[in-house]
Amino acid sequence: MSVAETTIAAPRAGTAELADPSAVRRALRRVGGWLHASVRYPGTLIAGVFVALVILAAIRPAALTRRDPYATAPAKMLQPPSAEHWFGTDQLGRDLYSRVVYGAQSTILASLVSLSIAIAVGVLFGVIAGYVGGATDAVLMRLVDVLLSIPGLLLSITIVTAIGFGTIPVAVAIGVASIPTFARTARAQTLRVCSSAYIEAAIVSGVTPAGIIARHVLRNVFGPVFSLALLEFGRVIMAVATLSFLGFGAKPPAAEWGSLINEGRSYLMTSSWVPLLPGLVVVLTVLAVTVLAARSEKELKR
Amino acid sequence: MNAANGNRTESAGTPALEVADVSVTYRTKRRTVEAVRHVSFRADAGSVLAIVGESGSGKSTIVNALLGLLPQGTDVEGRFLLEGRDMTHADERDWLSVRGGLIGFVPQDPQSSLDPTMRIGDQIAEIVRLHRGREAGDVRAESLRLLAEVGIDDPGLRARQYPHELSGGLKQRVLIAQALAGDPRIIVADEPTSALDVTVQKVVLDLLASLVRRRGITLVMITHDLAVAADRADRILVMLHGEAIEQNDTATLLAHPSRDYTRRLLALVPKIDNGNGGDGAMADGASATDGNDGDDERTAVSWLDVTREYRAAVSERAPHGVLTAVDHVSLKAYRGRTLAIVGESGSGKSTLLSMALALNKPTSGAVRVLGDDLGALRGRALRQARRNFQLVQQNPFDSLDPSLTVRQSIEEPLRAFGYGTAARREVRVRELVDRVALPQTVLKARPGELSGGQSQRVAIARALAVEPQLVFLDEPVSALDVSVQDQILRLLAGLQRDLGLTYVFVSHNLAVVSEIADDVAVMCRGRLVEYGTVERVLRHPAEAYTRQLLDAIPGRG
Repeated sequence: MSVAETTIAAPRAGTAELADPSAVRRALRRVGGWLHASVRYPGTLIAGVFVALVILAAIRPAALTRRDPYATAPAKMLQPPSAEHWFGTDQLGRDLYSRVVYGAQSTILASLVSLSIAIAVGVLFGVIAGYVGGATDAVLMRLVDVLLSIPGLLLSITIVTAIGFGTIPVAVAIGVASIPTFARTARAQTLRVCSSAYIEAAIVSGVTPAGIIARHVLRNVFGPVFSLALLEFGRVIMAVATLSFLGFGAKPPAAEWGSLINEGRSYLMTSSWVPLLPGLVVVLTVLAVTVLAARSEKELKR
Repeated sequence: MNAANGNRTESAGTPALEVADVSVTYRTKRRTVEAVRHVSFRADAGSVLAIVGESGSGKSTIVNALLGLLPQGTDVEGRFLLEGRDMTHADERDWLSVRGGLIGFVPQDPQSSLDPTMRIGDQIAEIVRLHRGREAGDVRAESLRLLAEVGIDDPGLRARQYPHELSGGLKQRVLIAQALAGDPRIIVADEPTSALDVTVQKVVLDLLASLVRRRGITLVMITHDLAVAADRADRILVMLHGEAIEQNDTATLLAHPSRDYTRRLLALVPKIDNGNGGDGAMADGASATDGNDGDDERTAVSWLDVTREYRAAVSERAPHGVLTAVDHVSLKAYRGRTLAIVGESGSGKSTLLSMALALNKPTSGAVRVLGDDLGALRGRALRQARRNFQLVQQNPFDSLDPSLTVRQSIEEPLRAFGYGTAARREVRVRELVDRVALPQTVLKARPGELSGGQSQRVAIARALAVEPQLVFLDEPVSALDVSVQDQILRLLAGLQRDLGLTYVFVSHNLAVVSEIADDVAVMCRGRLVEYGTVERVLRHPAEAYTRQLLDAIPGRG
């Protein structure tokens, strides 16, 4: 007498049958999806390869170049790009290509540090403001508004001037300036999650507020925050390069991308490769990261 | 498979709507879905056709086909004709001339079908202008006339209001007015009343019936509610999995259903048959305020003169800016029995429930659950007390965290209350899944992969995890299809018997209540209107409001 239940597809279900829930298979399907996407979208593939190279440069610069970025050779100054020196040499005869490769390290490091600061603090503020509400929400969000009201670069410069120059101070400064975006997104997502029935169910099930935040809110807020982080990564790289171009980064002879451009400024008309090639690398990196971010956002949305 | 026409007199000329062997197939990158397979039916001018089916039956696809709203890349085979005109492969220009003027549409959800940023009058005017003419004065006059025709009081005032200021019933009437704006000869209504309270539903259906009569419109009504179809339609078409499995004129179909599925649907229409519900320990109905102060062991929950007020904008329901959601209600639920709290939207029934769950504090009065005064408990003590009472919510798709597996969701209360080791929890979770008649494989699934009925069973398993004595249920079956509702209600009744549970059940559906409840309390606008055993209240309602609720149920009489 038992009646087979009419299978009602839930509004969000993508498959009619009960999908194989094995985590391994799901991960494989994801990877397969990405591979498939990269074949269909060659631009994404190129961007992916480029970003992989940049990350390789940041982790193991020696893998990409054998030359010493700090070895000066005044006799060979300002030589144009050639087979021997792919990017040519700068005003002190140093190989520009290896300077760019070694410069990736500090730039990428600084970008990751700033992003981590922005996410950690921003999500903390946003989730607490969204969950607790009331006066706490008002106070936290007004602090965020203060940060937002000051133009980002100006804020970063002010912070760096206060705490001192160098790669890490730059990272901190840009991280702080990026907090508002994450705080607002996290708060909006928290409000959305908290209006769901499963939060009420968790309260009734006896879960403590800390437990609810850790188990339910953070997990469901993670998705949109991750997408935002990918998009912000490109912007942060640009900001790091800008600050080091302005001279707030590491002192010479450190090979940060921004400072390479700065050092080469004077030679723009005569030996244009000196500032332009590092500049091109910065632009291409930001572009590649953004393309990857946009593509992964599309894939995640499916 | 064509049913006979029955006793209907043949209407002359072409039928208003004719669908001949239509199949609709959706093609996406992932897969191909045959939503509709070889469906044929017709509707004569001036008649009412009801298309009845559960989720996934293909009824919405038919509607979209009839309005030319199928997405790109959809294959349509067969033919369908509107007033003799073949629209099967019509392009957008042909459709523009037909939509609104020949065929009108009343969408399903009044909450989301009106533009929240435009005034009502402007929204109707937009359509009137498209179909009737440009003179501003004429357009305005016509809009007001339409609002009046659908029974909206004070059209001038309503035309200046925004959708959020109107109730569900009023919004639905506005949608009907929009459908009429082009003076169509066919109207397709997609579940026009399923989002409405039962008394409002009756009014809206009466309105549609009178429009059909007065204007000679052909009405095609999609519904999952066979009772509504039986009441209001001349012909009924039953759909299952994309096929039209039975169609006939109403009287014949109800008396002699030829398919098992139809028979099952008919049998499942919840009827008020005066108290099938529960195996309550007490034979007679105690009064709501019996033994007011003394809570003996028989009492599971008592609401003692409870009031809940909210600050709100001054309106009809909230004079002086205070909305009284619950107004001095005293009520008891007894152990081992099922108390149903019944009322329409805004009656305060959900607020009563949330106060008993300690999710909401009464403005005055007290709520005692299993002896504990909930108002006095805080923090840890309150969390400990929660072990004894749990909740099953209305929306099965929203009550489970989509990022957790079923196992993790059911385990959550066990972890929160520190129930033994991981191994013991695992055993308990498996036991619970068995109890709610789900296969063990469901543990690895995520909510997005489950159907409504399966999700609700998981929610029930979760509620039972810590062995509560009392379970609160907030409209647990109203979001489910009729056949699934029946299964869940039987599961709940079985669990009550086996585990000796007390249920407090909130519902707007008196028919469902009569199946499962022992005692029923009727709420209206925050006040407790009537209380008694289910047999007494449903058979001999003492109050006019209760009688009104009973009369509004479709399919009675």
